[in-house]
Amino acid sequence: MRHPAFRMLLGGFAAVFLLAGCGGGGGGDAPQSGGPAPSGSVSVLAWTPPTTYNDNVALDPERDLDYYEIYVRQDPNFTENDQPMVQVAAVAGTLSPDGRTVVQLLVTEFTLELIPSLPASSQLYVSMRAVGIDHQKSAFMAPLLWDRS
Amino acid sequence: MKKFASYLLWVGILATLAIPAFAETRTISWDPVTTYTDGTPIEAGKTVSYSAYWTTDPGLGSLHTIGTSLAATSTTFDPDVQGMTRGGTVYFTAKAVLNTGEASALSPAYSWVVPVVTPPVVTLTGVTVSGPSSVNEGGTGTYTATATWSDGTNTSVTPAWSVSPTTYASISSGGVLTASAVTSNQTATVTASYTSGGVTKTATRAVTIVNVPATAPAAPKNIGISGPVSSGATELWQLVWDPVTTYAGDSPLDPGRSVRYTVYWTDDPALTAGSLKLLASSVSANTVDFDPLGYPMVKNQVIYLTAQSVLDTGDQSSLAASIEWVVANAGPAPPAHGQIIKK
Repeated sequence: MRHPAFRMLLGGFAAVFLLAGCGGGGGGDAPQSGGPAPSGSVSVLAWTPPTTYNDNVALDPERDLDYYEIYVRQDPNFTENDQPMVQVAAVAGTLSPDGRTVVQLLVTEFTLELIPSLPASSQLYVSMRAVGIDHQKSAFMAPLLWDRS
Repeated sequence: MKKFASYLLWVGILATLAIPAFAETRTISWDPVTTYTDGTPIEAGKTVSYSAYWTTDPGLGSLHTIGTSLAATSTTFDPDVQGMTRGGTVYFTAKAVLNTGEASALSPAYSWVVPVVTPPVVTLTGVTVSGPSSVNEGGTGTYTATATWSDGTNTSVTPAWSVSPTTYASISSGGVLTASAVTSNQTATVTASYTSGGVTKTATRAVTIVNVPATAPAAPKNIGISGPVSSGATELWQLVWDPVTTYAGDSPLDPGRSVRYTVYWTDDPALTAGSLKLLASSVSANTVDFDPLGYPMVKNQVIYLTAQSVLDTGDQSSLAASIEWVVANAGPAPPAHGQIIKK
């Protein structure tokens, strides 16, 4: 069952659980909240939501996904023992152009600077996992090098 | 016209035939009618038949028919079948009927007191026990009891069963003895106790509880599943069971024996041999991790997991009691096309 917090979005704000502190700002298809916006250039992690389960059975990401877990390491060797830095709702509600209705949109981007307590390194690796409404987690997405210099 | 015989002469109840124990047959008879009432013989060519009746009315009202068109001068009856009251007085009568249709008057009533019959008292005189003289440890044997009665008959009965000592065996109320594990042959005594009419008889039978040399290990017990214990690209679930340390008869494994396990899965709850699919073999631990996708099991499929222990001697156990599991293996595929964009 989808986490209630992710189903009670109003006014076009996507839910973000900052697991290691608070960040802020927005970016991506759906605006984000959770703290002050970073100033200057930002790094946005973008992805394509899964549309199948591991066994290739079709998956409706809007219906079947609950949230994503974003992981950050100083090397690309993500393991089961790693703890996610942040959870991002898989679906966010946003206001329609006329501002009268809330439209559900798939979340496909996240501003990495929103993650608090990032390791002090000019190069980090980022990965993520999708979590279904049945709490089943995907494997790690292929790690991405995040050059912060 | 000549007047037909107006009544018959009774000769009364002639015989009593007790057949069988609780049934009774009586015979009534009468003199043949050969004349008309004026004493003239009935002409040749005419035949006489008889009808016999009984009643509780000395005035011969409310007649009950015992028989009609009787060629003979006697007939039999069962007082109980006729509905006669034991100890009561009944009255018999009869009439003669010519083949021309002429009938006599009813004969004078013949009274008879219906004897009071006391059913023979049959008492329990003995009980015997039948059943196997030996039962293998861990096995069962069924015992039966037969009662002997004072009339010489025998009937099967359900006695109160007991067995002694209970360390070697137990016995159900239905007489099924279950032998416990023993380290050497032991003798137990099966006792049947049966009571009827205040009489209690007992019988015993010795049974040898046979120590069977252990060869097959016990089946694994308490299979459980947990997980996922890993949720990476291969999502692993863990099957666990109690280590097998005994033979099938619960006696400890001999020193030096080692056990490995073969694990199966099937969609057949009956665990039919042909349906079993190998999950893992020659497992030395009492756990096995498996990826449902690898077999392949289908998400939401109901399957049954079982295991079998195998000794280093090659002896195998029976299949363990299975557990039912709904395959819940497939989490989402990971997000794809990840990229980090500077904005």
